[in-house]
Amino acid sequence: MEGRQHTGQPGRAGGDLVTGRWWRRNWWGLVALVPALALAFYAPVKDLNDRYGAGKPRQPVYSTPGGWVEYGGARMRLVDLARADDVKDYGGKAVTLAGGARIWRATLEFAVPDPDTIGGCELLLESSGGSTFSNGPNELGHADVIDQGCLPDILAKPAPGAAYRADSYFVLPATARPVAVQVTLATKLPRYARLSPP
Amino acid sequence: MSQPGGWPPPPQAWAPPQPWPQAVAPQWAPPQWAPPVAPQPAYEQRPIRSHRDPRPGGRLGHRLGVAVLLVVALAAGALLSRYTPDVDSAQRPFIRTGHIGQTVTLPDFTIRVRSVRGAAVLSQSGANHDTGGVWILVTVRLAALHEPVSVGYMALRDAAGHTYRASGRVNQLLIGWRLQPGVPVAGEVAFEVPVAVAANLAVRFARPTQEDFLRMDAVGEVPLSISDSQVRGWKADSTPASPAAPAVTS
Amino acid sequence: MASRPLAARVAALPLRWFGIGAGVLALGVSGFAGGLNPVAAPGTPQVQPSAAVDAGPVKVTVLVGRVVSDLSPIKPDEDGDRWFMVIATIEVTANDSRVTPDPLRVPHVAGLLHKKPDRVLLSRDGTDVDYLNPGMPERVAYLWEQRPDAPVPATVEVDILGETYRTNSLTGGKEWLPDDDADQPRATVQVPVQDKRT
Repeated sequence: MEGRQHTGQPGRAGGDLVTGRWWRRNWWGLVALVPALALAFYAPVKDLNDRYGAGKPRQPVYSTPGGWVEYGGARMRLVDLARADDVKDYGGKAVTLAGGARIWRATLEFAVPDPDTIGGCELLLESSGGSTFSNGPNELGHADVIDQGCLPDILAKPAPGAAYRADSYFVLPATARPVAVQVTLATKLPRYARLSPP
Repeated sequence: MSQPGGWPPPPQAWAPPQPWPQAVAPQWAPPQWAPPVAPQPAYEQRPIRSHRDPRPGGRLGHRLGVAVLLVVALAAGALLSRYTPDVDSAQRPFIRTGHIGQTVTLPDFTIRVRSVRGAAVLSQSGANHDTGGVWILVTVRLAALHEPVSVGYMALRDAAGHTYRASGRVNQLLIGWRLQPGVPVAGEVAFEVPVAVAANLAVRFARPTQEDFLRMDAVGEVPLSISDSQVRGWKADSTPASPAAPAVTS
Repeated sequence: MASRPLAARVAALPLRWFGIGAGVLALGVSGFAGGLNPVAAPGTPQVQPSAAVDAGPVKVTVLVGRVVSDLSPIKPDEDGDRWFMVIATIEVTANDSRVTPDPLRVPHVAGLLHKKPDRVLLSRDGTDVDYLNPGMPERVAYLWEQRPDAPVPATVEVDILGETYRTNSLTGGKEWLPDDDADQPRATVQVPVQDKRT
């Protein structure tokens, strides 16, 4: 092919300029760029969010009030949730907390082939305001109580699958109203059991 | 053929028409296809031998241009890396400050420094602990906001940016205490610092237990108003001081 | 073709040749300046007892070695074992409190259970060292559990390991990390060993 070169205009190559014709031909691509970018970012952001959320209790397994729930290979229910004003310290003196803070006791019932499989559970008391409170708090470090968590009494040896009860203690401010107990097993996150009192 | 009877003889002046001149007799021939002829361009055509700029001196100018661009790119890169914040700067913690008696609110908990005192000797569980510097005891009230949280990092920071973590020589129950929302706990935290820096200190609190994990975390900071004379007085007093144990407060 | 001037011929050379040529020239100049000469591995400097050694975030002054039978209430893991200790003054020169500085090793002492010290105690009150603070030199005892039948040396060679303030390749941030050649101590010091067995 023979080349062409404009005499008097050295260096100028031929080709299409960005004319109005270019915009008319390509407007659809620019419009499609917006959803394309959104889709491109959606997957990695969702992936990050899922990974972050996978380690948090986000998916409750609800129970009926006082009813049984299947979670982590165990059946469990909340038998009782009440104020524990009778807690004493090792000297026999009643435990009182400044600022009107109150002690609450939750009694749970479990039925599981091997209690050690749920021994590492985390218990949280949920209040009507959405706050959560952990069991076995430092404020009761000198109280003469045993916080069992999800395990049976240390001297009891329930038969595999037989039901047993376990008490846990919480400290809440005077204005807080507890509404449920959350039972979380780290290996089952983001699912957790949300037990309502009878 | 003889003329039909009765017709008058043609006028003498009439002469039969002359036959067509042979030269202009039309002869029809099918048209022949000829390739279209390109319009003659108004410019000069030359065969392509090279794609290089044929202008004299153009090649050298091109090389110089490349060299200049390289230098500019390197300089721009150097400027960028010089003035872009490094990782430590970009991931530094978020500091919220207050003063003694004021509540400092972080995302997960609140801090209120109530008072500060000092001593030359600390006593706990029957054992006395002296120091090469001076003991600083900070009374602080901590409260979780929405869920249980532990404050694992407590340190003093001097004017030169040195940090002094809470002492491990005595039992410090407030460090790592699991705070319950709405149930404030107050206690005294003990630090050991050189005498020379004791009058220019701020106390810092954060959740993580390791300093490396302070990156991009929230840190509460409260300057401690300590005078040189106070420090001298504390250092001179050999009466042991006992840090107050944590307890629920209002 | 008519002969072209030298400059034009040089200018007509491929650009790649210029790049390779510049690289070869740089290597050559470096070679003349000694850049290609082999470097001898540095030996470990030997320092006098009680000389301060800069180990990075801390300054170390090794004072004396000691063998002790009983350090009650601190008990060895195995009954009958004794303690081999090195006493040094450690001063934090970094900007923040250092978690249990551990720069000493005694590679030629027989009968030790571990290479790293088993306990690190503050001479001032015998408490375990959690942190040492900047600008506050402290006498620290590094303890190794030792078998009772091991010979008691008259002197001990103590290696002082160092750390460098450099970028952590994982986080990108700067921190004190062991020297690149972790087996190469910053310095070695020979100190007498006191036999304080009962």
